[in-house]
Amino acid sequence: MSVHLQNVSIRYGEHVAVEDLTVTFERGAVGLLGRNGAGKSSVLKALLGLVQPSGGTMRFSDLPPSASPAEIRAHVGYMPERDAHLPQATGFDMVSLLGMLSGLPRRDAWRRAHEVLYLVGLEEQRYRPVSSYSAGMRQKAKLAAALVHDPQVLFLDEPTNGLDPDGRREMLELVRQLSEELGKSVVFSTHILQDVESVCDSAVVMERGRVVANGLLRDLTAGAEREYHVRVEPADADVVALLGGALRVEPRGDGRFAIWIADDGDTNPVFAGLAAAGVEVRSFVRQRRSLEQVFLSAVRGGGGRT
Amino acid sequence: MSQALNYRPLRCERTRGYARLWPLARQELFSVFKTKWGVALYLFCLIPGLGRLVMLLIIFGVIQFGPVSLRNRLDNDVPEGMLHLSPDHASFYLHSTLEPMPGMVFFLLLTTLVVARSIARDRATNALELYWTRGISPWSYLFAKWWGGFLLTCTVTVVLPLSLWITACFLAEDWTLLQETYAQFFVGLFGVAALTALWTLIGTFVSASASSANAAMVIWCVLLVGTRALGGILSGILREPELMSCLSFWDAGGVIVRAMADLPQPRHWLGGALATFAVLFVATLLIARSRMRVQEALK
Repeated sequence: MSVHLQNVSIRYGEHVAVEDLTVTFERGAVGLLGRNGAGKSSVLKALLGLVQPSGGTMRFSDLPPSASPAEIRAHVGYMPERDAHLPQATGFDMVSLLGMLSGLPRRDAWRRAHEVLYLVGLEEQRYRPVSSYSAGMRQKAKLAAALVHDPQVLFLDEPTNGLDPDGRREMLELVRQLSEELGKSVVFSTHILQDVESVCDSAVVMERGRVVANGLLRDLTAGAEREYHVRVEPADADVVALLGGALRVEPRGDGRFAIWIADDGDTNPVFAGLAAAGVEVRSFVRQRRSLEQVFLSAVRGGGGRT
Repeated sequence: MSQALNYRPLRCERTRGYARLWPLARQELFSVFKTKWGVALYLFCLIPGLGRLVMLLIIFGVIQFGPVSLRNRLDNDVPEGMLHLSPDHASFYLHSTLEPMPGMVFFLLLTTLVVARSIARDRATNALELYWTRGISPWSYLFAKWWGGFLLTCTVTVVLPLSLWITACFLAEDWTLLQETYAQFFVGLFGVAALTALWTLIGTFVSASASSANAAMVIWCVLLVGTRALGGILSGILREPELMSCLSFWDAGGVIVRAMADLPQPRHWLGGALATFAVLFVATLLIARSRMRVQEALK
């Protein structure tokens, strides 16, 4: 199931949280990035039907346009950022009750609670009170609760918060499997860019209520120019003088250079120019921008690809 | 966690409406029985009803205790102030629910630890965020919480008097007791049920309004005991017993139910009692309304 937002605006009184947002969360994992106050949570709240947008339309591809907010929430899984659990409840009690509140009959809710608790790795602890769980186990319990009613869309708000390295790796692997193997649409809201890089296919970067970058990660990180790291032999060859007239070249020492070529440019002139001067190319590796660079340039007003 | 996911798609007919809310209400209804202290508290709250049952058994001679002529004496010449000691009068069955002692004390214990904490405790553990992002609305959630608390409280305030009355009807020599008391008793019982609904609803509003479970418990105790103390002091100083019925939240409820069932009661002011309830209900509703916004759960 994909989620479409068309010209969506969200206001809290005079404050504009989201302005004229048009974006589609396709099937697969999509990273929702942005600084505090960028409007990420408002988008999630609006998608959950908890906040009424002041303008625009939102549509879940598999639900009728007339679906009520409660009905939408019954088909969407939400994992909150904050620590949240039901008082006195065991892991099994919590997950099964939340399943029933999403519309599952009692027997199905019980069966599903066992299944999803096993899925997230809490099968041994399911009859322990959630209040006695570690931070990582609580995160897993929240994920199990988000999955219990078999939603097609999952909104995960900072799912790796408070997890140790092993727990974080497990959580990311699970999210990746949910999106890749089970075909769930996952909207992954986080501040941790590495998490998005390791799990998501695409990302939406928000700043001040607007989308400033949006697209597949490989496109976002490709940049307008391609950057190559080259190592040549002999190490003292003056590559800048040989290629600098046509390309941007930056020496990095010890026979290494960075070369930028326009996105639609050809790499053959590099090899040809160096070969003509008797310089041997030992390595030629394309570099990608990190998502952090994409994020920073987008939120600082540079914008990205939308 | 790199093993293949053992995940089966879910195929079932989704529930709607009340069927979706009942699990939450049921959880609230049985929350007190999840700990041994909760069970002990609930059993403790049954003491007034059990005491009345023992009285009933003694009066009807099932338990041989005290003077043999007690039943005969209660049949004759019962002064109006003592009617609540005679099983032939409806007030016998409702007395322990409506009177401050023991009714209010046990009601206070049960509702303080269950109803007043219900939503405030969820707020403290951020459970509201889990509930309200499900297939129910915040007000449906509040309804389910109230309904569970109401049913639990009813087992003490309504089911016990009803059980007593049914027991008395079968213990009596003929159906005269039933014929003479049923009309007054059922009107009174309906009044108690309605009052329990209102009390627990106000308690739920208090719970929804309070920032913590402890604050909710304190506010609830102040509403019941504090207003009664205030009413007692002011009515004593001003020598106006009627003031009690409009200053004390608890007494106001008792006045309304007794007036409905035409049960004997001291000097009172029915209009004041109704106004007290109306003001309290509206005030707690408005505060709860402002605190039941979605923004409260999703910060």
